[in-house]
Amino acid sequence: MRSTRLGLGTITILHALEGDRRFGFDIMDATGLTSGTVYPALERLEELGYVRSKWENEAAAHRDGRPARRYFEITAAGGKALTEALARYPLMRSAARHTSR
Amino acid sequence: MVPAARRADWLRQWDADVAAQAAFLLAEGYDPATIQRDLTRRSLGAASHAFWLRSHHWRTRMTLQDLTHAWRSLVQRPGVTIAIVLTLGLAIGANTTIFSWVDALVLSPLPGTQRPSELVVVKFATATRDNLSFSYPNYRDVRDSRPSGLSGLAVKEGMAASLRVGTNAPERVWIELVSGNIFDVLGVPAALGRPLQAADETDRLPVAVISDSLWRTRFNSDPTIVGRPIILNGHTLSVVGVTPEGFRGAMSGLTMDAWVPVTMHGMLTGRDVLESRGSGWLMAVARLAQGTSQAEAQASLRVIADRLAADHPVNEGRTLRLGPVSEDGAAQVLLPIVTVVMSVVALVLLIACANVSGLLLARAISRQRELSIRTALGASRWRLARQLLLESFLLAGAGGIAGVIMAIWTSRGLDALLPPLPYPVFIGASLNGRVLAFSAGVTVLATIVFGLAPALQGSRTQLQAAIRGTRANTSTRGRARLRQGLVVSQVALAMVLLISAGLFVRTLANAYDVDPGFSRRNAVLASFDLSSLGLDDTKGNELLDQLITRSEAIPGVERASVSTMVPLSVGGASDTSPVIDGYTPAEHEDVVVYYGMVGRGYFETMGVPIVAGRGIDDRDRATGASVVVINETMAQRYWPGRDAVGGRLRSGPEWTTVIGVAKDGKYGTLSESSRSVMYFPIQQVYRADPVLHVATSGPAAPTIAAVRTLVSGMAPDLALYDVRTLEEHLRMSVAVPRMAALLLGIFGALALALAGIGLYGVVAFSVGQRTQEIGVRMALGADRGVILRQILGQGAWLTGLGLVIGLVVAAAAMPLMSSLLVNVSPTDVTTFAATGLLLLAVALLAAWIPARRAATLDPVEALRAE
Repeated sequence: MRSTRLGLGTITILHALEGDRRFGFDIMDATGLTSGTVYPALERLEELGYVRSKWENEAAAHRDGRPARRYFEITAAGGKALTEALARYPLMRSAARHTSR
Repeated sequence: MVPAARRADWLRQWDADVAAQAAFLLAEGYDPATIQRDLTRRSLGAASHAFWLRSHHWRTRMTLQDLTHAWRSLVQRPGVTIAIVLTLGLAIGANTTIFSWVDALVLSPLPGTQRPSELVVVKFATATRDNLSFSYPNYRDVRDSRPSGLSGLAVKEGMAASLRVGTNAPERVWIELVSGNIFDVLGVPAALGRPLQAADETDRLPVAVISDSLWRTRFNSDPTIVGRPIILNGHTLSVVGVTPEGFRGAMSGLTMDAWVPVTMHGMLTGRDVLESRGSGWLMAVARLAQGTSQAEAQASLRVIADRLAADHPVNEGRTLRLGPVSEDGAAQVLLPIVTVVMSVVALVLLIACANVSGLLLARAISRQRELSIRTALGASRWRLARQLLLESFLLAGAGGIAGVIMAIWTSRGLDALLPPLPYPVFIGASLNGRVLAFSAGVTVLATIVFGLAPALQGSRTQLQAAIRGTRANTSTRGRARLRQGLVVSQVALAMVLLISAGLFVRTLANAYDVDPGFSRRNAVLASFDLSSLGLDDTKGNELLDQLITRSEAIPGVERASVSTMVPLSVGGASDTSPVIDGYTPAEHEDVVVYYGMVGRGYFETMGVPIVAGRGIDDRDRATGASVVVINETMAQRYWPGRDAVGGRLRSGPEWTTVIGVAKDGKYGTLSESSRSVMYFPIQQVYRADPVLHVATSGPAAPTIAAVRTLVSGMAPDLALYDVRTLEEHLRMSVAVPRMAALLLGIFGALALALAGIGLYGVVAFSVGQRTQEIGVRMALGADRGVILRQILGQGAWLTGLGLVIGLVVAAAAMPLMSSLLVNVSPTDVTTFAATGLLLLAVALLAAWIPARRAATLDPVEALRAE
């Protein structure tokens, strides 16, 4: 089984997802990471089962005049993994508490 | 790059995200330029995303299953697998070995030094010569001028010396006279005690640093060695340090025993050249300053050289240049040979790869069933090919490991293969990181070379026919052509190797017939250096005279003499540019004449015929007129059509008269071109280190002991070394062609065997494929002889093509070796023809075996066969 140890960047992304961010670019803005980091990380998180991806409702999107986007949600397993990971990085815990929204 | 399955979704995702962002930014009122920038920044990750998906895709596919599958299929056919691994092992091992020699000679020529890539040699150069040495005053001036770009400049010069430990007989050692800063420049610390320092040189301290091997062998690893005395050339010096193991000195390819300050030269040799600006005898080594290029250092040196020439007329016309460290030392001599060998083993590797490729191709064809079933079960062509490549890689890997194991021993072989030389040569090749990296690279390359074709071919399955088990179309044109092409190339390569081996064998045979210019065959040769006794010219000459007289008194000795030139001694020939009375050199002509000093009766001792005038004898002493004997080439060149005897020449302040002309001989190697040579009487032009020649009437070996006794009686402190018979010495002269013939012969035979096997494989396979067809033809009444001839014809046609290609390549490549051949043209027709016939014979034999089997087939059996 490949190592499921999460790096700091991935933890930040998970945390952003917990805080209701859903789209790739939003997570970029919240975490300050590049798309080259975020997108592959989301794939990996999905593979690990910490995150699930869905597509927006087609009809609704077309009404708004844009294509349907892929969005991500944190899973229960992901929430647990995040808590464990935060326990490992004490400073992150305090930073996590300070994030708004 | 995105895997096919994810492609559509990936496009959708990125498309949608970018569109949404664009809409958002527009709504917020940003200008197009800013929007463009933002979107571009965000889109940069698309490539990483795609790459991640692709590599992830591979990772899931390439499971352990692939590996175990490959392993199993190899182990199932142990015979073929072992054969392939051994073949590759030999070839890769040979390549690794040769590369380790190249690495030791060129890439890391000074072991034990710090950051050797920064080290360079510095030489004086004129318009015509580019490796002139430094005199001590010149060195001091250049060093004190602090050339920018060099962080240190040191000098060294190797010489033989006699070492006495306790009351043991003196023995010869090799020492380097060095400037005090050399260990600093080279970055070599002391293992015991301290290294030499600048003060040792300037204060002229009688100190020495000895090598680790000398410390172990002659001083029994004495831990209290520091401060002990060491007696060199009869003088006592104090040991101040021992160098670390692995450091061998500042000359590439040679191993030194001790290092002594250059200012000790006068004391050790009795010669006073230290302060003479015009006497160049030191070689300089320097370290480039960090961050400087060679060009910068070169420029700075040239400026200094100009100033030196302006200040001191003796330096006129000289400039300074930099060169690689491998220029000095054994590398120059050995490199041409090693290069040839390197090309040879590369060829052998190619042939081996061709062979293995053919074997794998055949196997792939016979695995059609298995591979086709896998295709039917959904494996893509790429997956199959990958599987086959993996097998090839495992094979190559195993071969590579075997090769490296083999190379552990054979890389040390160069030192054993070398002929005995009068210099302390030591290559010390080892398997370091660079060599191992080379080995890995060759392995990967080999995998690609031999594995690609079978992988591509094998994965091209033909579903229906294969599953049904019939042989329809399994030997398509393409496949057959490929294997045939391989065999043709094998034959061509084997041809090239065999021709080169043949040329060297002929050289070897000829070498024994070449007239070396002297008739003496039984003699004892002994080298010594009188400067270790500190005698001046007069005393030295007296000793030489006595030595000759008393040697002739030994029973069994016919004549004796001395000479600084030993026939057919590879190195050590000095040349000069004399002024010849009555001869004006042409515009760009260089008058180059080699010279040596000989004692009285030399020509009679060695049996060198005098064709005009007389040889050197008793009359030619320091007090008499300056005389010289020249050889035929020189006489014809500079006194064409006239008698050279009586002519005059000048290579110093006085005119010298030619009193005789000696027959030409071979002075350096058997394959050298003719050269002009002068023989000076040693009584008039003194040298302290001639070689004693004692001609015996019978076999020379028994006289050796008598010579030793005589010398130790006359001069107990004098070390005699390289005491050998003339016969042993002459054998050395054929060492190079012998080594070449041996190596090339082995590789040529190997190549021939491989080519033969390859040809056999192709013909046998083709026969196997056409068994049914042959059966039909025989049932319909075809003559067995016709079938035999037809199959043989196929083999002959392939061989012939390979032969012709090989001939053409050899005709182009062999002339590159002409400097190593003796009396054989590099395109010698006999050799080419004989090799061609040999190859044809082997090839026909290889083809005949399966052909005969085909011709003796029982038609009924053949028709039943699949």
